[in-house]
This record gives sequence, C-alpha cells and structure tokens, in this order.
Amino acid sequence: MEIDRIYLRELYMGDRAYALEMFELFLEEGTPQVENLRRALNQEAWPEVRYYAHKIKPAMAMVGFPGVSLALEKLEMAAREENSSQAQVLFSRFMDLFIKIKPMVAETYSELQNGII
Amino acid sequence: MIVDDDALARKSMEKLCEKTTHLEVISVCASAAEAINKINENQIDLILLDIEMPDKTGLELLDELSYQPQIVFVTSNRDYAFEAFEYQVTDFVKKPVKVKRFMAAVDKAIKVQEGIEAYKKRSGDLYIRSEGRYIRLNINDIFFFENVGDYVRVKTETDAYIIHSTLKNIDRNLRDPRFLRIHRTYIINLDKIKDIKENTLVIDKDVIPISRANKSILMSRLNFL
Repeated sequence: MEIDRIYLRELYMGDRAYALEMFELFLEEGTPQVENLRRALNQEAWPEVRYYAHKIKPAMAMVGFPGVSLALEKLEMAAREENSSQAQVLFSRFMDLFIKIKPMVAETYSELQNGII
Repeated sequence: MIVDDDALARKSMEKLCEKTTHLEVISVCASAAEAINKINENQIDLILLDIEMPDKTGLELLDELSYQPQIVFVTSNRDYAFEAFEYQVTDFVKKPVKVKRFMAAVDKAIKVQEGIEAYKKRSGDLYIRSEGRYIRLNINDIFFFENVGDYVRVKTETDAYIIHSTLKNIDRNLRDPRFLRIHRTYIINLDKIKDIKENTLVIDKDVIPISRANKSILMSRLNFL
C-alpha cells in the first residue's frame, strides 16, 4: 500500500502550506478519532459508530488514502444495519490499514516540511 | 460562513476560501447551534455547510433560519443529494473537496448572487421586516433611515416603520447611489432634499443634521448651477 501522490496533487494543487496543515491535523486528531470509533463499536453505540466512521472517511483521503474510505463506508453500512460481527471484522481490517498508514503519513509530513515534495 | 463539526474539514474549507478573492470568511462554526445565532444576526451571503453534525444536522439548521442565504452542502455522503435539491441549495460537493471542484461551486454561487443583485436593481422595491410582517416599499418613496437605539426608523412619504437593523447593515445592503449616510444616525435619500443650511438639511418636515465629516461628500453628490 502506498500514498496516492497523484490524488494529493489533484487535491492540493501544489499548495504545500495547505497540505502541511491537513497532514498535521490528521496526525493530531486521527488516532483519537479512531479510538472513539473503537470505543463506540465496543459499546455497540451504532449512531456513534456511523458518526465516527463518517468523519474519518474524508480525513483518510486528505492524507493520500482515498481507497481506505471504501472500508469505512462499509463499516458505516454495517453500523446502520447494527450488524455487530460484520462491523467488528470491518473495523479490524481498517485498524490493520491504519497502523500501516500512520507512519507513512508521518513520513510524508516530514517530506513536506523539508520541501522534498 | 463555514459550518462543520470536524476540525480538519473546517480548516480545509478555510484554506480553499483563501484561494479566491470573491469570498470573505465572516465566521467559522463548529456546530449548528453556534451558527444559527450568527446567521440570524448577520447578513451572510453564502454558507459552506456540513450535513451530519451531532447536535443538529445541516438540514435542521436550514429549517431554523429566518432567511436562507446561498448554501453549498459539503458532505461525505451522497445520500443527501435529494434533500439538497429540495432545499434549492446552490451546490453539493463531496468531501474531500478538490480545489477545482471548490472553484466551480464558487463560480455557481457568484452567478446566482449576480442574478439576485440584478433582480433587486431592476425591481426598485425592497422589503423590510416590521412588527412580524414583511412590508414592500418602493425605494423612491423612502425619505431617510434614522438610527433609534437598537432599531432603525424608516421614514417614507406616507408612513414610518421601525425595523430591527443597523445603519451599517442598511448602508451595506442598500447599494443605491441615491442614498447617502450624512450623519452617524441618518442615511438620506438625496432626491428628497428640500433645502440645505450650514449643518442641517430638510426632508419633508424633518430637519436632519449633517456631520462635518460627511458634508463634503454630500455636497460633491449634488448638482449646483
């Protein structure tokens, strides 16, 4: 899995300052949001599961992972149907991706800061 | 105005708005409740509005407004497209919003605003809200606007109305060259001046003060033989 740099170029149109702010916010807010999602799922608080999945979706795209949005959309649907086992499986898949994604986002943030990209 | 409960989304909208000189961000709100008061107290031309928010949805927010500015819905969920149509919003953009798509939405909003302004200019009428109703006035019949505490008195040929507004708001929205602010408490219709003395002028039976700062502007707008 790789960051979709073509997608990022379309999104930010070369505005490094804009990209930096978004990456920074993601690195600050991303993990707490995912923790909120996990907590809501464990409590089977389905409206909250939908809400957090819905909010995290565009954030993943903003740091170059638009494909991960699809996994979260499926999780939103599972929450709407209150399908606990399906939701757990989807969340687990998402977490595997998230754990890999975070360091890649941090690295890209660093490259942006240093003007490498 | 930007309304979104998500910090990343709010910042993204702010950064996109910075890319165009056509927009001035007056307010950024993190909830519908925070936004409703600000919208009803100010003249907002355009709202970039999220739909799914914890306290109230963007759709519920629209139901509580005393007027509807232009709306661009900004959301991750295409399911709301039908409702967007029902509310006659200007545009509906999916998050995350790309620069090109944002600019296309801004262009749409500008065209709509130009259409509104053209209609207002053509119609020669305006509406004021007084005592719970909207009253249609012909601009030609208005003598002046007078600041009275938290209200404004609108004096016409036949009547006087009290409206909840400020001269600053009226000055900004009226945009008619016949009207000029000549004192901190008066905006007058230049076509209704009867005579001018040193620091006052007369409209109908009212004697209206002219501030020193506005005297020269007033005199420059009149035709003298």
